[in-house]
Amino acid sequence: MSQQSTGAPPITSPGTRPAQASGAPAPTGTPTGTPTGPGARDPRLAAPAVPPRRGLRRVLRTTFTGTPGRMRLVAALVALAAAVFGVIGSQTLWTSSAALERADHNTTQVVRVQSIYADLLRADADATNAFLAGGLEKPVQRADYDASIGRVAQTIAEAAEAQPADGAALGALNQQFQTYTALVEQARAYNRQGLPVGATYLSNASAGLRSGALPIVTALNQANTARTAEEFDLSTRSIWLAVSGGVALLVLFGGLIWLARRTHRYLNVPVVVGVVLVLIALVVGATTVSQVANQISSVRSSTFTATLDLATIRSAAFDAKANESLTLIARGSGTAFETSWASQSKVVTDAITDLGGAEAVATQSTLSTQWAVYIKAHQAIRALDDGGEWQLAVNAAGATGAGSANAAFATFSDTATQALTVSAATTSDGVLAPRTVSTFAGWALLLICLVAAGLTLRGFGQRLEEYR
Amino acid sequence: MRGAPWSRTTRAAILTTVAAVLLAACGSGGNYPATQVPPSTTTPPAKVPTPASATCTPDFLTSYAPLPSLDTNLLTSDKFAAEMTKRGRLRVGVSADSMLLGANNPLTNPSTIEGFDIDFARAVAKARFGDENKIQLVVIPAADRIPALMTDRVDMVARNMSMTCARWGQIAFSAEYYQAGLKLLVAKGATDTTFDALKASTKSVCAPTGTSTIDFIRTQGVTVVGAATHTGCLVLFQQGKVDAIAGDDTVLAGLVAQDPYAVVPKATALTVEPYGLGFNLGNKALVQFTNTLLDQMKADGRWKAIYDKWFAGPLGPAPAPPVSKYGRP
Repeated sequence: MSQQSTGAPPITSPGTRPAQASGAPAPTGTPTGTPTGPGARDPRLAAPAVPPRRGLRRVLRTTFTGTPGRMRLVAALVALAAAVFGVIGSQTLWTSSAALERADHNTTQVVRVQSIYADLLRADADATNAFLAGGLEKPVQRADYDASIGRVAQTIAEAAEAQPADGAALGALNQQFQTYTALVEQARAYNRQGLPVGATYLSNASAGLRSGALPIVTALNQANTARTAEEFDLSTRSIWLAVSGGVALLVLFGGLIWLARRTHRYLNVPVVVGVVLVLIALVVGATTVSQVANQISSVRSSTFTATLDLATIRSAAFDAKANESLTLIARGSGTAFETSWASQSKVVTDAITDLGGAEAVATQSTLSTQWAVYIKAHQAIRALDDGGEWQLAVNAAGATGAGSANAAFATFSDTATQALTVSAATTSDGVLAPRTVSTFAGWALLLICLVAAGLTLRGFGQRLEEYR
Repeated sequence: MRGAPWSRTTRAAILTTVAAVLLAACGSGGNYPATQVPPSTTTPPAKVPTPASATCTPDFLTSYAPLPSLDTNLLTSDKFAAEMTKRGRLRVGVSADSMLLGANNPLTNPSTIEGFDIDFARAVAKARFGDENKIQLVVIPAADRIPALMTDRVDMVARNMSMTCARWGQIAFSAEYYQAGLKLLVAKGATDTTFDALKASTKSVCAPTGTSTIDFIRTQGVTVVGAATHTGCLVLFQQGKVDAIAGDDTVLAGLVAQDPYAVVPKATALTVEPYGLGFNLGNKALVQFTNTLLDQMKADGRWKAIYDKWFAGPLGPAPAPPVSKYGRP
C-alpha cells in the first residue's frame, strides 16, 4: 500500500527532476558545484574514505558536491533527524519519569511539613492544656508533648535532608522551635513552683510559635506544593517529543521521495522501514506521555487532593484544640482564641466536605461524625465557661475519660492521621506507577530511532555505492 | 559495504551533532530556588496613649456619695442592676499574674486567683449576693481594663487601677482603697537605680502598655519598652531585654517575690498612685454601694486585715487606710 501511494511520484519524477535538482539541494549544491566543474568527478574518488592529503575545507567540499555529495548531505540530514528525535523523545520520557519521582519526593515533603505543623500545634495543645491543671501535669499529657516535640525535631532533620532548597527555611524554623521549647521548659519550671511568671512564659511561647514558627511552616508547605505542581506539569509536557517526531517523519519522508526521484527507483526498502520505525516511535512516545498525563491527572484530582485535604484537616484540628485551651487560660478574655477555634473548625469541616475520591467516602463520613462529636464536647466546655463556671469548664477540658473533649478529639485525630498515612501512600504509588513504562518507552524510542537512522544511512549508502 | 561511502569526517560530524543534542536535552531538573523565609510578624508598637489631663473638677479622688446602708434594695433597678441580679454573680476584671494583688495559685486545689485586689472583689460579691463565691473572675490585661468596662464585659475592675482625670471621662471609680507609689525594679547589684541614672546610661525600662505608669516613664527620657502585663516585663527583664521595670510598689513586690535576683531599691515613690475599683460610667448605683462597703471595711479593721495578709511582709506595717473623698454629682 505504501509502495503504491509513494510509487506515484517516481512516475512523474523524470519531468520534475530538473526542477527538483535546482530546487531543494541546489542553493548549496549548484553554486559550489558549477565553479568546480572538474571537482564533480573528484568525490567519486575522494569519498571512499581515502583521505586526501589536503585541507579539511577541501575534503568537505569534495565530500558534499555533485550528486553523491548531495546524497551524502541528504542522508546525513535524514539520519540526524531520526537520531535527534530519538534523543529528544527518549529524553522527554525520561524527564517525565524523573519529574514523577521528584513530584513524589515533593509530595512526601508536603506531608512531612504538614506533620511538623500538626505536631507543633499538638505539643502546644498539650502544654496549654496541662497548664490549666497548674504545675502538676498529667504524665500522659507530658509524654504526648515530649513525643510531639521529638517528632518535630526528627522531621525537621529529615525534611532538611530531603530538600536542600528548604534548608534555609528549616534552619530558621529550627531556631524558632528551639526558642519555643526553651520557653515552655522555663514556664514548666516556674509553674512547678506555683509562680505566675510561668504562665507568661507559656503564653509568650504560644504567641511566638504562631507568629514565628508557623508562618515558616506555611511557607514551606506552599513552596513544596508549588514544586509538586511544577513537576506534575513537567511530567506531562510532550510538545518537544511531538515537534521533533513530526520533523523527523517529514524529513525522512522527504528524503525517501528525493532519493526515489534522484535514482529513478521505486522505494528504497531500508529508508521505508526507517520511516515506519520513526512513525512507530512517535506513536509509542505520544501514547506513553498521554497515558502518564491521564494517570497523573487522575491522581491529582483524587488521592493527591485527598492527601492535601487530610493534612489540612489534621493541622486545623490541632490548631482548634490548642485554641480551646488558650481560651480557657485567657479566662474570660479568650474571645479571640474562640474565634480562631471557630475558623479552624470551619477549615476542618470544609476540608472534610472537599475530600474527593470514591475510596475516601468512608473516611469522609467517619471524620465528619467524629468531628461533630468533638464539636459537641467543645460546646459543652464553652457553655460552662460562658456561664461563669470556669473551674468546671477547666475540669471538662482536662478530662480524658469517655465522652470528654480530649477523648473525642483523640479519636478524630487518630482517624485523620491513619487516613493521611494511607492516602499519602496511595498517592505515592499512583505518582510512581507510570515511571517504569516511561523509562522503558524512552529506551525503546531511542533504540528504534537509532535503528531507523542506521537504516536510512544504509539505504542511502546502497545508492551511493552505485556512484563508485 | 556500509562503511565505504562515508568518510570519517562525515561520521564524526554526525556523532558530534548527536552528542550535542543529547547533552542539550539533559535538563537539570529538581534544582529549586530556596524556600523564602517569611519575616517574623512582630507585635505592633504600643499605641501612644492620650496624655492624661493633670487636673479636673471634681478631682480624680472624688467619687459618688455612699448609700445609707448595704441593703441591696437601695440599688436602683436600672438595666445594670437588673442584669446583674439576673446573672446572680459579679463579673470582675482581674489580673491572674500579679502576685500579691491578683494571681492564679496553682498549688491550691482547685487553683484559685488570689491577692489583695481579689479580696476586695470578693467582699463586694459577698455584700451584693451574700456569698463571696458569687463571682466570675475575668482575667484581663492592663490595657483591657477600660474597654472591658465600657463594653460591659465586666461589672467591676479590681486590678490595681490608678484613678486619673482622663479615666474619669471614660469610667467611674469607687473611693480610693489603697495608695501605692511608683518605684523601679532593677537587678541585684545594679548601679543605675534612678530614672536619671538609667537615662544617662541609655538603659531601657519596661512597663505595661495602657497604664498610667508607662505614660509617666515616657516623660522621663529613658528608653521605654512595653509589655502586656508586669509579669511580661519580668520575662523581658529575666531575658536581659530590659534593664529595669517601673511599677507600683505593690506590683513590684509581687515580682521580687518570684525572682531573688530582682530588687526594689529603697526610695521615695516617684508618683502617688491612688487605687480605685473601676465601674461602667452608667453604673453609678453600684459605685455608691461599693463605697458604702469600703467605708465599713476601712472602719472595722477588715481593710487592715487584707493589707496585713498580703503586704505586711514585703511593704511593712499597714498605713492608715486612705480617706474616702465624696462630692461627685
